[in-house]
Amino acid sequence: MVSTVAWPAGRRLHEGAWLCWAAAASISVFLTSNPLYLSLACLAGLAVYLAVPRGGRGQAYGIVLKVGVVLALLSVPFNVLTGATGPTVLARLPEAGFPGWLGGVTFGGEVTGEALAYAGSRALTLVAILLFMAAFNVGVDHFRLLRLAPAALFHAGVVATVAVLLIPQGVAQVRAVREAQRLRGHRLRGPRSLVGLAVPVLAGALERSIQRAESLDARGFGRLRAASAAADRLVAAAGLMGLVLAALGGFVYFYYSQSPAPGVAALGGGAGLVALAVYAQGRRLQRTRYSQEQWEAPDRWVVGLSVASLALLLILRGVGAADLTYIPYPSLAAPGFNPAGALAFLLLLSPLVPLLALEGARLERAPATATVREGPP
Amino acid sequence: MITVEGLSFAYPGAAAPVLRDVTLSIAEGEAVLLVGPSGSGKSTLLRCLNGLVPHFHGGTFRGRVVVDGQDTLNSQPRDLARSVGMVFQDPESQSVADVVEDEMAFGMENLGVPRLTMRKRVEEVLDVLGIAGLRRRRLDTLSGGELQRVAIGSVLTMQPRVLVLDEPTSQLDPQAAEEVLTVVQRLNVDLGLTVIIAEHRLERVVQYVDRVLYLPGDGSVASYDVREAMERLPLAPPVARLGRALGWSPVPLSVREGRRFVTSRLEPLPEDEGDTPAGGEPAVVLEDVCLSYGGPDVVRHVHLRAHRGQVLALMGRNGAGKTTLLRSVVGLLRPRRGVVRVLGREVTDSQTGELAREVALVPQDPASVLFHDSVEEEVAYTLRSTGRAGSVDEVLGEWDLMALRREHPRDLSVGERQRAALATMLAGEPALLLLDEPTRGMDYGTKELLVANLRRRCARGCAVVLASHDVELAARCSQRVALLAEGELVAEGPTRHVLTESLTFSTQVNKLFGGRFLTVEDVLQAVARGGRHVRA
Repeated sequence: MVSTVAWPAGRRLHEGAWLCWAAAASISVFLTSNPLYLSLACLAGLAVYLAVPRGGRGQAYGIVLKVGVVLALLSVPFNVLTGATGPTVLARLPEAGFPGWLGGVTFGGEVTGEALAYAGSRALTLVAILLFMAAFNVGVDHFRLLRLAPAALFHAGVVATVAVLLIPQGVAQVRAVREAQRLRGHRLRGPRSLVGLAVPVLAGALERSIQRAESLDARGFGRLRAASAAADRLVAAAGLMGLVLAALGGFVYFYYSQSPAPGVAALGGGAGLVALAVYAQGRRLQRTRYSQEQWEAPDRWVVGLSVASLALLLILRGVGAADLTYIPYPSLAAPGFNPAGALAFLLLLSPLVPLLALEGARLERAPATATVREGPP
Repeated sequence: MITVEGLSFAYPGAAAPVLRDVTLSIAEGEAVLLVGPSGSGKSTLLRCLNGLVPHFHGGTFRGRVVVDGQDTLNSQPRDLARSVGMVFQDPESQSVADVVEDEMAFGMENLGVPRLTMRKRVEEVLDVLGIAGLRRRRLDTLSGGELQRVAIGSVLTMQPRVLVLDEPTSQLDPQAAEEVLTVVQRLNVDLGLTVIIAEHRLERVVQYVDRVLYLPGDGSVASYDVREAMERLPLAPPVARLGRALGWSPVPLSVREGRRFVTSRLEPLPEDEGDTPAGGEPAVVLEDVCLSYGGPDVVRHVHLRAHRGQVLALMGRNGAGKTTLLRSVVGLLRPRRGVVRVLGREVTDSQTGELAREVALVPQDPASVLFHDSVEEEVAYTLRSTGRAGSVDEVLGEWDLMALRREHPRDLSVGERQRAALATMLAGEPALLLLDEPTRGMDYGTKELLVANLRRRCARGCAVVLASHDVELAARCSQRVALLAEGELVAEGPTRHVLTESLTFSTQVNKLFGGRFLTVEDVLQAVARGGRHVRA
């Protein structure tokens, strides 16, 4: 089966397959509010995240993920303490209210099971999305993902990719500077010393960014085919006009909803103009793309299973089966469970098989890839 | 291939120009070495060749630079990319892609090279650089030397006619530096690529280049034939210095060339000569120390002492555990097993701050210790926090930093910053000084300052532990050498014993004369005594 497919050394899951999986996974989380299914989604996300081989970037995402999960979990007591209604009262706390001009939020009071269940399932949604995004970001090759984007967006994309690269470097830099300062008998005390920490870290990051920018420039990044200044201005003007038109159209559409036609027309026209400008700019770029990876069987598996998962959920939701939506109000009840719904979320484990197969292949070849050169001597 | 006419350049806001009325030309297929103290304008001159100066940096630019028929004032760096490939110091700040293959193709994609041609060129360049095995590796799993070769590969795929390298090995250990320089030499010899390289490790490159451009630091550039340069310039590898002192002609550029002049072995040095007596009381005592970062042990069962009044050189390959060992001495890492005693007290990890009064560690990246707004504030801070009475001026003078005292550390060149970091960390007169790879990317003059400074310190009873790959440095200023391999201590003893018995860690002079000779001074003394064993 999948695991027996021979992958070339160093082959990774196709970025298209990753994209497909990430899209299916994130949409599926919004299609349900049932904590049982959401827990399954979290488990699937965690399993995939753990199976992704990780480099320097993986560590940085580990930190982002931890912070995110803590924040998501903190939202539970906050939600329970602020918006408690429902008959199942678990506890009564002293109440503290803010005056109306501060929003009129009330803290404390009754803590109800309904609020707890509701807040819990919201937090689970957040955690699941975080896990999916972390797995996707650590697993996917950003640069190859970028090649799939239109040429005109490539430049912005490279800048974004480089910014992502700065995160792990920054973390390492903070550590190095902290240690160096401890060695000089400097302790983190008060805001003044935080400045002392931030300045070397930021200056170092800036320096490396400049070197990277120089290196990009020296390798022809941002090179444009010669065009007349007039044509240049025309493209820029068209893009700008398109943006304005689209914004106006959107405004008209939302505020004069009784007659949507002019709004929709302006929105469409604006979008068309922007697309044209992007296309024209892209043609000037004269970029070519290095060969893309072929789709292999495991990539198709992942895409197929992701689509299947999403389709199954949509059908279940369409027919109203499988208790996808869970609302603890007006009174607390156990969430329903349906094997078909569970199957849909378990299908999100699809990248796991190729990832584990790849990891196995990597481990077997690990000593060889490090030193041995390919080809005859 | 390259013509520079009357080039003067000043960075925006700078008072004095970095380059003053420079005129030179470089022919196709030449290999040219740029040398000069740090801050003398080597990087700037190199950046003029592909238009980064003035297009990227701005500033006042006069004169003309013509590369491969294009005037750099009329072409952007990205358009000159076809003619000039540029590789920078820090291998980690040059990449965009995740995978080696993609990184190599990036430049070609920007130039609009057809897909099939790209495939072919990537294959060729991978083979030329000997990195075909890395093709699908992720960049974040590569070593520094591998990364730097990938960086060279990613400009070579654009088929430039000139390869410009700005201190490409200054961030690398000797092994990795060797890999990179070998590749560069092959590109010049086999492919006829014009190569222009700035490099401090003269002993590794002089034998491969045709010409030396010397930047003394006043904005001028002098051009020498490589032999002429080795005869006249203040900086030269040991074998050339020896040749100069003994009047060998032509001055040898490599150990191989030097052998022709050595007709018979010199009289061996007397057994006890150069072996210094045991130093004072031990400042560092490691007893059966094992260190780990949570995983397997990085350092295993090490017993080691460093005495007051002596320099202990800690040598070994990259990853042998040298840095880890130093970290444990200052309490940044608690030993998993064993005891670390510093100045008579056992070290625990909470003490790093207290230890700072008596122990100084200069880390590999010296810039990370600087966090004030000017060089003099840095020094003043150290004097204050260690409670030493010393004058800032004196410290600055010692390290030749008077002219830079009000500069922000980040505005200094890499070499100047290294000097500022040394001055800062050493100002407190620590009783124990730990240096982690201090000479990486260091220019000749600073190295001399460092050697002199370490000798003075030892005379005052300071204990120094020097983790370094630099054999010549260890030979000149250390009394004992400890050799680490894979976290284990494999040899420990007087410098002369350890370094003359080693194959890889031996000096140029030792390769030439064998026996117990280590430095140029050893040979000169022996010649003064014994006379005519060396043909002049």
